Amino acid sequence: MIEVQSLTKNYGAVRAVDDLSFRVEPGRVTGFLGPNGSGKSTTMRMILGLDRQDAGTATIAGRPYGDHRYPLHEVGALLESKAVHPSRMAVNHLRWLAASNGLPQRRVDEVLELTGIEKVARRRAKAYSLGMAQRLGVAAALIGDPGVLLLDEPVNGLDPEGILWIRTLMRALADEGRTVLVSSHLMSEMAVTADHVLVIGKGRLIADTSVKELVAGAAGGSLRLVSPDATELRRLLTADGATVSLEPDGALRVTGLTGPQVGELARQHQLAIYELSIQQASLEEAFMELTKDSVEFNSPVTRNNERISA
Amino acid sequence: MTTATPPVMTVSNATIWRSFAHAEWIKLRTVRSTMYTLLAAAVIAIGICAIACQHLVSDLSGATIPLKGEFLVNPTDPNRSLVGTIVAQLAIGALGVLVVTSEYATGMIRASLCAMPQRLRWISAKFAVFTAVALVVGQVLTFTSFGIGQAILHIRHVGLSLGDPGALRIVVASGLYIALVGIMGAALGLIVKHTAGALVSLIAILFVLPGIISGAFSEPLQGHIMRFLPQNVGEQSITIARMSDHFSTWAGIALMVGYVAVLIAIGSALLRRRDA
Repeated sequence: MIEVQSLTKNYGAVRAVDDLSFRVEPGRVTGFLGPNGSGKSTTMRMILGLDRQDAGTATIAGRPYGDHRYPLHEVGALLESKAVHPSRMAVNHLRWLAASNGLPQRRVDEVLELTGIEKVARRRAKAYSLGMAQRLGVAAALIGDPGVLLLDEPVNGLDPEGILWIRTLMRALADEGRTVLVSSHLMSEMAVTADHVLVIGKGRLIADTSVKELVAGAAGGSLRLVSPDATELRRLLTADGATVSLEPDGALRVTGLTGPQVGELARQHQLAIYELSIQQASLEEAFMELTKDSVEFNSPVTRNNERISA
Repeated sequence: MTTATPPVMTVSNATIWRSFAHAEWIKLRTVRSTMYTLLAAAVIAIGICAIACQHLVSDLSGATIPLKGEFLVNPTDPNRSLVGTIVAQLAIGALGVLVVTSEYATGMIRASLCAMPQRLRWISAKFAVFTAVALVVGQVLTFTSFGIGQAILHIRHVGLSLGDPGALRIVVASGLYIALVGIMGAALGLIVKHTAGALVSLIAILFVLPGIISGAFSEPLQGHIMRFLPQNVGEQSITIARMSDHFSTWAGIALMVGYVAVLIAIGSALLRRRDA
């Protein structure tokens, strides 16, 4: 279990993490979600004692990270794939890690096998592809067979096979009763991996909820309407109190009315409908909706889109 | 999954420190550049000494009078068989810098501190391992240089043996001096974090500072200041007689130990405070 209590971190005048509190429970994959620059990595580094917080506490298994005598037995972390000396062989990287925490050298062979890199273990880290480096990072995180895992953007830059591997592994680790916290800026990735999500923006907690609830609670479902009489329908729907916007492909996006209401309206005025479908707010939209006020750099394109749909 | 691992909570601080030192020892010997740097240091140091001694021997080849070491090898000159120290110190110093700055340059510092979060315990283990290596390397270099150099000088019967007055002292002291420069490099690496910055600082202290001081001050003030510089300590460490404007060999070595201790203290304080 990871517990974060009123964690705060300033970089000069910028508050990177702002009074953040949450708990990460064992036995499930918890997604740590937020746009780039929202404070995910900073929070993870503070949990690991790498960065000093300005206020608040972070504990793993009840104690601050630095109070764990041999922390690798309790906590494994994948921070970035390049925390390895480029001219050191992968196997030697794992050897020093094992030695530093009094772990037997057989753990090196075990994690090499578990991550499928035993055949390339004697290559220097700089010769590793991104996928191999990521597997080495996971091997390092698992070396102490820890009950708590923190993975920072583990699927970044991986090919589909690598992504599937990481997903399956995280699922398996959580099913074994471990605490798994995985950060990502991709909501779609979390939708298939995580059971629970913590959403942060500008260093503040925006949502602490299950993936299901997040989708359900997202800005209500809308209707997609395709019609040869779109202009006329738009006028009628708006007059009936619906909010209508034009999609790039010429379809209408209708909120505020149900499907039957729209259908009846069209029949009354003898207008043809080619397509009328209920749009479930995608996770991506739910995420954008949640974080739209807290993205660091709002591009003009995003702002225009917001204006169109508003 | 393994849940609680009770033995972990009861391991002693000494055991943890030994684990950290073991990890740092594995790190030090599993990067090729370490071995290359040490090898380069050895070849340069011993090579320069051999050349310097050979040069002296050929100068003496025209002499007809019976030669005796004391007359021709001036004890107030830096000993020819150890002049390679001046170059070897740079190689060891660079190695010391890299031992620390490569942690920062490669991002490995985060892996190191995740595995070894008690920072002062970690850095003391790292410095202990490097110090042990630097001490051994320093002594091996100076003993080998002295042996080869004096063997060449012995062709003209002007060689010294370790039993001669002051000979053992200069061999041991210059080996210590080389090791101390290495540790100074590591301490500067800890303070500066960047390889280039730390190397430049080290070179400035060793080779640029003497020039600045001799340009800025006139005698006798110049001499009073110069004696505090590592360069003068290094010169005295390879010289049998006491040189003017120099501390005695052991006082100089003690001064270097003091400098290194202060730099390590500053670096450790910064390490404790800084984000990794």
